[in-house]
Amino acid sequence: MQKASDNAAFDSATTYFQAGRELLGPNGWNTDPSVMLKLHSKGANACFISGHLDTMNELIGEVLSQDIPVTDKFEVYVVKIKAAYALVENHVAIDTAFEFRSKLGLPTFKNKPVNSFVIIKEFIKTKRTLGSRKAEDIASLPELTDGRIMMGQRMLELASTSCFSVSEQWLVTILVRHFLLTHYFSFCAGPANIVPIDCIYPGESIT
Amino acid sequence: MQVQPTLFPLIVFTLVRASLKHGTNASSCDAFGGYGIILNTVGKLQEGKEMSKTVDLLLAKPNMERMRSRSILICEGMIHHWTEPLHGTLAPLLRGYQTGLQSGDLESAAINRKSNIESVIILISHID
Repeated sequence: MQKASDNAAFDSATTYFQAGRELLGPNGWNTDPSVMLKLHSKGANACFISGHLDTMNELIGEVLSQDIPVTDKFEVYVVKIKAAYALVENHVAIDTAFEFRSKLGLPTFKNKPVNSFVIIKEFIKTKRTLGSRKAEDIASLPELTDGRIMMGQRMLELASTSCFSVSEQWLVTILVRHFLLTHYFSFCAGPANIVPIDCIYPGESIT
Repeated sequence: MQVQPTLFPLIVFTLVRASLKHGTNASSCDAFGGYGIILNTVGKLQEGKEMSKTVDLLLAKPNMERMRSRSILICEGMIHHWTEPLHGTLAPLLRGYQTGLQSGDLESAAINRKSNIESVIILISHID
């Protein structure tokens, strides 16, 4: 199974996984459910990467229809979200991610506009939680080991990709400043960290 | 039905706080990278740079392979150019492209390459 996923040989991988599923046959879910789950989950991912979307949907549908714990369906949920994002169906990606988080019993969001005051409040809350921690302090935090939280984090990670993609305001802001800074620095002979950036953005100086 | 882009900061803040509370894992790279983007956008460039450094340190930990290409994209394509010359991002973005191809993260690989080409075009356009 590992061999099938290595070296970005995802086209070959789909064949390996299909052969595995055929070997276990239609009763595979009864005889060896854990191997069948892996063959379907990894197979769906390989099909997604190699562009066999019909087969991918079949495999995802088969796993989701099984009477197994939701945590076992995590991998196919990830593939389903990534595929929705790739097909520019961002609302499907976000809804699927939030659905999985709620099935895990974790707090989630609704796909509704967020008030600016709520964003500012959450920003201040996050800044306070972060405190004066430096990069080294954060990197030395203990490793997350709770599988449920890890899955929930992954869902938020995937959802943020879809939100960022449709965020015209963010994109416009970033692109405009990207070009302003690039044009500004391109005319500077010295390193960027001695250039006062306040003339471009009236915020914090980088000097 | 549409997606609400205003969810992006809320999701990032939740990810950051969860990482600080429960510990770090691969998703923390996205959390602190996303937070860095937000900080830069509101003018906190040094803090944004610190978040980028956090991502680099997290990537040095084991089992972070799937995040490598994506994190290079976030740090080099969306954070570093705020405080450093653009040409410094060219080689890392190219490395992000190659890493993405190897790990199967084709989306990040493609965007890394796109950012690399865009940066080259911008830099070339200013050669006299």
